[in-house]
Amino acid sequence: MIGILPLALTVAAQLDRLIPLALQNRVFLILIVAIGALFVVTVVLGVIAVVLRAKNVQKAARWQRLEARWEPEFLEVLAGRRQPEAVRALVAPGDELYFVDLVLRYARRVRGTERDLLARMAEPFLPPVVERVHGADAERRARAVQTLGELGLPRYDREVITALDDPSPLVAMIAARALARRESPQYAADVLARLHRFTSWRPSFLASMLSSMGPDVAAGLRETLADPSLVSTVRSIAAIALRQLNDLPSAAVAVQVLAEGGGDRDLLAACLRLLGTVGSTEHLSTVRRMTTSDDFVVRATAFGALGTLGEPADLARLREAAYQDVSHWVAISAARALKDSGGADVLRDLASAGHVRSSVAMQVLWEVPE
Amino acid sequence: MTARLALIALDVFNLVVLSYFVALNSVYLFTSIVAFHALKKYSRRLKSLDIRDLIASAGAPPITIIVPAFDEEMTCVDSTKSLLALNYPQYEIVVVNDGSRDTTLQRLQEAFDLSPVARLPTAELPTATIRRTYRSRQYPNLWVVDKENGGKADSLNAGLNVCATPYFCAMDADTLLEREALTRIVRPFLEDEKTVAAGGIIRIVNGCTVRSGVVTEVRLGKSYLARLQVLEYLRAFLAGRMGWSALDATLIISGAFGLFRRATVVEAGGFASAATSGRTVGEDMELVVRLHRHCRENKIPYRITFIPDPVAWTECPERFAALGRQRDRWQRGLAESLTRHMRMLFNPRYGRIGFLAYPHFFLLEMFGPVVEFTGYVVFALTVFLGLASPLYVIAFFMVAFVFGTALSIAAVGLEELTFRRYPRFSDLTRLFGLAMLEHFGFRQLLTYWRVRGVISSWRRGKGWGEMRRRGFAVEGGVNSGS
Repeated sequence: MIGILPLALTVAAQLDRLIPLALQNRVFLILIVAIGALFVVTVVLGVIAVVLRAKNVQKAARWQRLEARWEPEFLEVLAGRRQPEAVRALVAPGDELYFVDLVLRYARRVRGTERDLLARMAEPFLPPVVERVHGADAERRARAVQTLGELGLPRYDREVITALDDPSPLVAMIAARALARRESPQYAADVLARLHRFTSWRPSFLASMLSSMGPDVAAGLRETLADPSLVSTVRSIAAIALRQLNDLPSAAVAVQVLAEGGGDRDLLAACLRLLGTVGSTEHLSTVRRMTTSDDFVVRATAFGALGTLGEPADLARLREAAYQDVSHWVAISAARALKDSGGADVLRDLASAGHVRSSVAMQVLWEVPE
Repeated sequence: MTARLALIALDVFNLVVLSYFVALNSVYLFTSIVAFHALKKYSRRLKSLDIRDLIASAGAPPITIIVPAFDEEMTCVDSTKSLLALNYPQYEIVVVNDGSRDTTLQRLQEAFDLSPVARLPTAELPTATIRRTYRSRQYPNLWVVDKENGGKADSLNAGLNVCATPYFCAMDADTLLEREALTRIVRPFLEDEKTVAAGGIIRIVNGCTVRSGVVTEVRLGKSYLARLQVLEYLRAFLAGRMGWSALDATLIISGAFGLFRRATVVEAGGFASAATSGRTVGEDMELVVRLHRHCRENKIPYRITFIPDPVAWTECPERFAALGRQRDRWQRGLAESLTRHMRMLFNPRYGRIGFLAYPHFFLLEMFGPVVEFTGYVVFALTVFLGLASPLYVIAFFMVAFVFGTALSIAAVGLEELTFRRYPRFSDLTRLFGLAMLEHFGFRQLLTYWRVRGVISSWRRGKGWGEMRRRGFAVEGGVNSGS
């Protein structure tokens, strides 16, 4: 601040010269006007920042006050000592959305009847939230869908399911996650039918979401995996989810996909991983065939599957890959498969052989199973 | 005749300075406005997605944190401990000891019970010789790669060579990540598979209370130099990078904290080091520029973004000499990165990077300090020789001062709108004061150091740029920087 003083004093002292000069000279006039305008902007910005701070402090205090009033009542309701309707009476006009926010925070932590109780408490205050689902702002829609989805009231299912087709991918994803969290297969078809909308999300993330809906979703997932008209990303997601569900019947579908030939690397790898988890010796021929794939990712995954499904006769194949495959990734996958299938001695030999792949064997032997 | 030519040259030069001033501040104003809208939207978006929900889902991909360490004996143990306490489902830490001359390796060995173990390379980026790889017996996800000195980029490449996860986080050894930083920074990768790199915000730890590697109380530092840098960082990240990111033209991800897709970085040739595409002190920016180029030239759909909520805390210099060296190095890095990829300048093949971000950084950020510094000298000379009215000069500087102050206050406003990390009202008023004070001396010093950086980039100077560290404060203490 001190630094500005000399400058301000200089300007003030020169005011009698400044004004006539400004009136005569256009450039100088522009500079003076710019200073004035920018000064006003600076002051306005400063005032906005202070007002924002004051508003935020006020909002935090209000929130704290409301929380302190409502939270003990929530606990009473959850403990069954009070009816949800009684708590609603404590909500003053204008505080409804704060109340819904607090209910939402609790609803995330509980399930079953407790969540139903919380939903009942918030129910009369939800119509303004429903209006927001149809609003123009994507972020507000997302928040509204999340609220309705988390509370899980069947009367708002239509809004959540419709949100799967929302133009915003975020809103659609929140709707899908909310439906997945219900752990009920009745919503699976809706989510599966829109999987193509979520292909920009990570497949493992989507697969977890789908598998969290429970084993009843498996039939739909098998259909998705088997459908060649769908994009391979969607089919890969289905394969990953089926693996997470340990769905035994899907092994046959995976074999069928692998038999299609060609195809996307990620889809083939997902099917091989699926086979590695749910397959049996009857699928060995398919897995063995894939160990000769030109694609190193497919080859590496096939060796991984061979490690769990393989027979003693496959140790030689695994050994050869660990020693000689041109890809490090395949070598390490084969080495891990050797370790998993009782070939640790082969690995120890490799580790002490001074071979170019000895470090691979040492690393795998050292690895702690996850 | 000569005098007349000199006068014309002076006029032309003054016009260049004026144009530079108008262009630079207009860009800053524009990015601030864009950032305002983007931050408002982002804050609402944060409310709609629950971070804990993301952690709970098994979909979070594994990440390797690569930490290059050179003479970091004061901070390496604390910062590694803080990394081990991160709230993320699956991650590995690879500390790369870049031939430290101090006891960095011994301290790590003692603190984490390291034992030598082989580790398979997953890439073959050329680096300085690797001496040994260690793994912690206490923490199986902690690895240390001990190598000969080769520079920061070389260390990052060494870490990249042993990275077995689809994503890696590049950071500095003296940086503290917030517990949820990885969970937050991975979001763009979850939301959009095209994402190849994302940067988080860097905040200044000086003056804050740090307990067990966690920043527990945020305060402005006692030193004015640190406080001025707080304001500078707010402006650079919340107004600058957020604005550029909203324009889908992110050209810088800070080397202190960024998350990258491993395969794309390896395909692009890793970080620029003496062993790869040639050493630069701005390996972070150079990589991002190269990633843009690599993806566009190979028609790979991609996204490089900045998000403002994952936080990394870093210690800033509190001595002029150290700050000068840092800024010199940053400017050198900027100049080297940009001159290597000159073909992107106004090249339609590179879209808005070639037409917006690159020209801004090339013309205004790289050459800007030279224009500004020369402007100070020539303006003074003009007044001294009586060629211009001192009133004009004062009026011009007043415009610059008020414009600059407005931009800084706007950045403070953006912080207030979103994260409000500085809870005291006094911090807010101090930041306002600093927004005015920085124009008297600090800005000119920065310009001088940046000019020095441009000159040394022509001379091709290299080095990590040393800063004596004191280490993060112990429990209950306050970090006062170095």
